[in-house]
Amino acid sequence: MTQISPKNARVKTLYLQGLEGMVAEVEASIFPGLPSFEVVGLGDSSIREAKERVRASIRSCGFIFPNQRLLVNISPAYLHKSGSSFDLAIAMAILLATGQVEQQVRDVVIYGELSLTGEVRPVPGSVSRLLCMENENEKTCIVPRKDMDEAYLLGVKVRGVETLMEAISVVCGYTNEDEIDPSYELDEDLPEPSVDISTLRGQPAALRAITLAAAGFHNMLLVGSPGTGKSLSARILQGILPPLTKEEKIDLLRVESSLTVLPKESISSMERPFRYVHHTCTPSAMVGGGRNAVPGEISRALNGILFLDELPEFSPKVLDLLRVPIETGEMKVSRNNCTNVFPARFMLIGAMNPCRCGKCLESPSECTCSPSMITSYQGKVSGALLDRMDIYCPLNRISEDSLLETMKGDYSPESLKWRNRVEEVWDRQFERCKDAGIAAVRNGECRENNLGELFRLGQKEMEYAAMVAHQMQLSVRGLQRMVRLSRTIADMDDERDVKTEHIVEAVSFRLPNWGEKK
Amino acid sequence: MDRKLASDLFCSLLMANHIMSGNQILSTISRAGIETIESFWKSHVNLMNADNLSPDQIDRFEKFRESEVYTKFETYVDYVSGHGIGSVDRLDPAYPGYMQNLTNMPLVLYYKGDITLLDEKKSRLCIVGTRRPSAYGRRVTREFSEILSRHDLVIVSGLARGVDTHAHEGCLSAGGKTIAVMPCGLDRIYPKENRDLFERIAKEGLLLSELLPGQDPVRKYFPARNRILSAISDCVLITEAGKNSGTLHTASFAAAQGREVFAVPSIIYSETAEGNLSLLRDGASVAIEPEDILAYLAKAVFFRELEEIKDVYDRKVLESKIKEDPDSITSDEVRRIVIDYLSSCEHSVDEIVRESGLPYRSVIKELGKMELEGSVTRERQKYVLTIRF
Repeated sequence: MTQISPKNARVKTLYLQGLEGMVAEVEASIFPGLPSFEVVGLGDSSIREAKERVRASIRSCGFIFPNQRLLVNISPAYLHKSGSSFDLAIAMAILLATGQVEQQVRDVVIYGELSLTGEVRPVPGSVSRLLCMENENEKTCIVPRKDMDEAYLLGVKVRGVETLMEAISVVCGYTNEDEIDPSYELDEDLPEPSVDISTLRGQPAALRAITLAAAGFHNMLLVGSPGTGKSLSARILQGILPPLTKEEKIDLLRVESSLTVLPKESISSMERPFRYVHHTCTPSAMVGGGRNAVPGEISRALNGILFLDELPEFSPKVLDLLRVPIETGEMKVSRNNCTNVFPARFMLIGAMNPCRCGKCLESPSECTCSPSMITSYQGKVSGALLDRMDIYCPLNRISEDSLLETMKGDYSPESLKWRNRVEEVWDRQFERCKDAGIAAVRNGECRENNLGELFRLGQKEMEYAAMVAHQMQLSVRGLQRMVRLSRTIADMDDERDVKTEHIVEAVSFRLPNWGEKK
Repeated sequence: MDRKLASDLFCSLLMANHIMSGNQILSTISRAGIETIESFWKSHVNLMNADNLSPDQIDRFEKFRESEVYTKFETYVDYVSGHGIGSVDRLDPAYPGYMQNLTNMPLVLYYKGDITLLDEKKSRLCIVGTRRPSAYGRRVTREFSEILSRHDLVIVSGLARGVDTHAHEGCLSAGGKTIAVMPCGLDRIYPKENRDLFERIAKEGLLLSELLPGQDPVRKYFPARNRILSAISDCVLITEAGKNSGTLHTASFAAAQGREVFAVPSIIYSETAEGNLSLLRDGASVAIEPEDILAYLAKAVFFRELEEIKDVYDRKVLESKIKEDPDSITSDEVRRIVIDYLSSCEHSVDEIVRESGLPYRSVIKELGKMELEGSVTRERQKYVLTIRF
């Protein structure tokens, strides 16, 4: 057998670590000896299986798989790696090492999964990888064709390929750079709200709570008997939220794409996420985790709504895990020797019945729960979590007239009007942050401590707020949350400064001392 | 010469010289068909005759007419008004209604300072105690006085040494209003070392006395003074009182006048507070923190308001006003409507908004305020009237 030269080749590739795209180098070496194929560099079983996919696709494209001792190393070799995205880089390194392909284009970065017939398939993590590419723009980046959609959104230049042959022709310099032609358009307009706000009849308190929650991005607790419209309220809230900004969309896609290959619709839609989490959710599914540390529901609700229906049915452990991310806006998950930080800025909307049978509010005489059952039911949601709820929204059974109106269903839709209003109020909040020289955040997300100055409370108002907090026995955090809500109420009134009347209204949204405690 | 003051002084002189009792003066006036005491002074010579007076009284009156006070009466009146002393009598509209209903109240009250502190809408708390308080008693007095005057309570006391002095000082240091009821004429200062405090109260608060200006403090008047202390107060707090303290008089007057008595508990071995403990055993309310008193007063004030509201507010008029322009309803009116709904049974915000037709914002603002005041609370997502403060 003839000696094939050169015996070594290197190709750069990108892989996913948590939410970060990382650069790795795939080296292939061919030695004389008994035919063998080894992949080293702390790969998991999906990388070990890559050997078979690579072997098959090289052959099916008409190339020769070297019948010698073949060693592939993925560096940095001290980090654990996983996933099928290394396939294409391994195949390319082997073809270069065997000399069957001659590299004409310098600085190639390449990733993708291979099928047995040599097709290139998309892999999760496209956005993180492409964002990593952004910093190394002069390189030629060969990606699965599907990832060109994301690349278009991010404005990163890439070469999309559908087969191993196409990738080879790019490396050899046979094909020219093709125009990026996205196969979708960004939806600037949101879809129609699934539930219009005008369907909420006869409940002005809930209506106000929902609009305030949206206007300041506040956490909210919905409490009411079954059928009073808790899930409906959450849907209405989603409907009046303005669309994502491009930056927010990219942040969200980074999370979403790390979990799965994104369908086109999810790239183009600018709707805010609405994560309806079932109460059987496990801790790692909620906040992120697992062996390879993937983001959880709280990260997938980024800049949108995390809706926890039937709050007391959740395991207390899961609920208490939410406390830290609510305060910090991020979730740290440590695995092996690396720590992944997942973004977790979301609006927590909780919904619950007042007791197990749900009747203790509306018709106490029919309630079958004993006082101790009610206390234990409500006690499943820890005080620490309740303290982080800015708005307490009571839902009641509605009157006969309002019931009749809901049957007729002749509403004039109002959600779009509210959506514009919310957007205005947000802009006001961003503007204020800009004036104060801090990152633009909505009131509910503000983590500054000097709220009095930032939110424009006068001396009198600050004293009043402190007096109220003392009287209602609020913690420091409770006070801050109340002040943030007061700010939102003032913003809704187009007021520059927070007045005492705004604080008074905020008080009525604090959680009352409920239960039968004597 | 101030005719009103002159008449009041004259009446007091008649009583002080045992010529006529207060009730006799009042009945003489009403029989003569006069409406104010002022005219009594004008026509007293005609009225002071055998029709109205017994022979003994006429004798004494004749003697009185020869005395220096009577002959130089005008100089005396000028002296009194020169001291900035005013007077209010039972025939005045300014005489507090809550005192009219009590027996044995003075016909004339002399005052120096801000008489509006006796206004019926204000809440007054009387703080009294021993002249020789322990460190505990001093601390309790100061603390209660300071905190409660911050809640707009007027602190009433007797300017005596010890607890009284601390009560006044605590109140003034917290920027509150205080009333001192004196056991002597208002041109006298007793005790002398409280001169500064006296002057300050005259400027910032109110000094009261039923005694004629010129009257020196006499021990026998001390208990009588105590009945006024309790009469002008909504409730009485005894911070520290010994076994046979005069303070206990105030407590028994208060009980007789229907004023709640609060006593601060102490160690059972404490000699300076034996009075407190026996009061507590006899059924006085316990004051462990200032909120105890606030809660009681809130309840009292609330029921008083509730009665007023029911009288004043015409529901039908308001209802038509709401229909015309819901935003024109003032927050006072909203409060009245809200209380009216809540006094029948508990309501949610939604229900009040629906049934009254008021805008949500005005209802919730008022409910928020009331919740902070402690007059409503939320139970089972509905608002309930409460008496908790």
